[in-house]
Amino acid sequence: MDLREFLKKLEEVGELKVIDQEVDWNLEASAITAMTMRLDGPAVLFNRIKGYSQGRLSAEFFQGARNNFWRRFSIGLDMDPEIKWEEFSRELYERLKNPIKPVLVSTGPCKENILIGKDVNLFAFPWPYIHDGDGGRYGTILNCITKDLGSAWVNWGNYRMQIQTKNKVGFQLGPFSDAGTMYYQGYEPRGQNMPFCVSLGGEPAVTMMGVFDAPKGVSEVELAGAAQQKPVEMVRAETNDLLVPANAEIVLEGEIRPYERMDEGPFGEMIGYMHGPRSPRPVGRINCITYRTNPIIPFNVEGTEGGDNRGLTQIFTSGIDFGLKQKGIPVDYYWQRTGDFGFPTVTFRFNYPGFSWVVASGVISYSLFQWLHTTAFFDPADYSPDDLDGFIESIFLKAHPTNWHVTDSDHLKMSVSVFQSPEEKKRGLSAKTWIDATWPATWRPEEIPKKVAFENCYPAEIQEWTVREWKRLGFKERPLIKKGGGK
Amino acid sequence: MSRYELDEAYVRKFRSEIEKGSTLAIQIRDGQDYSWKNVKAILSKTPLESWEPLRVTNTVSGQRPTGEVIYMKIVEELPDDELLPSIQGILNWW
Repeated sequence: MDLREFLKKLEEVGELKVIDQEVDWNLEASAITAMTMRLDGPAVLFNRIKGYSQGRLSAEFFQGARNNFWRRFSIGLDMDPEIKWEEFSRELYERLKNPIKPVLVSTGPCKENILIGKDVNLFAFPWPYIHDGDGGRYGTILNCITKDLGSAWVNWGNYRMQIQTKNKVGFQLGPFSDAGTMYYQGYEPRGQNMPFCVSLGGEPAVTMMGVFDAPKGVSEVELAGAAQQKPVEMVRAETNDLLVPANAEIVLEGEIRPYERMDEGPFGEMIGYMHGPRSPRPVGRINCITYRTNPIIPFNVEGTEGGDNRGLTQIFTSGIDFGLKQKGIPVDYYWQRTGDFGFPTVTFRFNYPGFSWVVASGVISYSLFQWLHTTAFFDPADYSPDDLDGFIESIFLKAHPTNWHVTDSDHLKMSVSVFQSPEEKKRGLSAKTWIDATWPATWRPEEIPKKVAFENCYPAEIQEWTVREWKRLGFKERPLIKKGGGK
Repeated sequence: MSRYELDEAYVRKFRSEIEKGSTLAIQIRDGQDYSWKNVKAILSKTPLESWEPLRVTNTVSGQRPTGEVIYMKIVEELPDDELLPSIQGILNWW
């Protein structure tokens, strides 16, 4: 199932709005998208873009409704669209445990058109200008494909990409992101160019795994195969040795030269604020563009009304869950939605004095946690990702003040948080915090306080009597029994 | 309406050069397609005939206009391969 087939499926189930009216790439497409997200509306396919005879835009095709943000993922992975989040999450993890190697094919749709050398012109495609105030037009849903210099590891990563000139892009490569590690610690100090390809579109699993932060050394292409339970078809790039998804809509081939920087940004980031200032970042020089006829450029309106945060960030940060489980740390990871952003939370049943430090160390040292700065731990019986009130209550009532831990200030932090001082942004550092809201492992079960709640303070017969008599007593509202409300 | 934009970093850092009419290597943004161009140009705070008006912007929290307009005469369009120093480098900020 490539992107086009995926969009058709979304349209069939009412999850996609196709717009044939001409729309401007300059803010109009993103404004419509921001509004549909605010309303929990459908994904959008813009078929006619002002000033362009070819090229389309599609936005937020993974961004489901607030209470069902995984629905489009499940459609893209051929799962039951009505699947519950817990089942989806478990099924995805089970699939990812068995990576499937890609297959090399001789050609594919992404080779329908080829521009090489002087013919390369990024402005021949309708890249969107997403937020008023952005430093330029951006690619936001993409796979940047790079190979480690010292091993066979090929990484897929999604790094915001500014279209700078007709043949240059700017990447926000975090210093310890996977491609960043390959570049800053591998190619650059050795004075070598880092070849890369950027693919946009293709199978939904391909896009998802570009966002997913797999542990270092793990190739996302094999996880994409695992996620869709079928090998990803790959073709060789025209100007370097990398392999790219055969069904991609557009592929950019290029290189990042050592110690070459160009100002990039500002950009309205997924954290929900405009992230600036314009700052020097690695430059991708594009040598070749291959693309399907009338290609679709996927994008998302980061930071607004969910944007990335509702679905893709869940998938992005699910790498923590995968990584911790692979290390044998028996925990479950969740992305607790809190308004327009979210809060990384971890639950664990297994516990002993000091275990939360093991978990904290695993979470905070995970490379993608450079995007985040705080996490909280709960007993699984106390936590539901759908219960924001319970989440806040548990933190404030159960976490002993001495269990609000703050690290020193020298932890890696992408310079995207609004609380970071200019000095911290320059250095890319910040303190991290973790809150342990689990019951202490040394407490005996009878020492754990009983929650005062309807489900817990009244015998079953009184509860049943109350519910039974409720209507007869003249109440109009239906009585509400909370599952696990007595915890 | 100005077609091009210029970061205020240049205006702040090169105040005396602008007053003297010196040629500066600057990066400007084309407001039509949002591409960035490198040019050698002379800048003037007062309008001169046939000089291109530039909208001055600040990039700390977005590409925001400062309300200031400056005028530019392009002396030379620099090759696309030539990269100019970072704005933050110019300001010694980064």
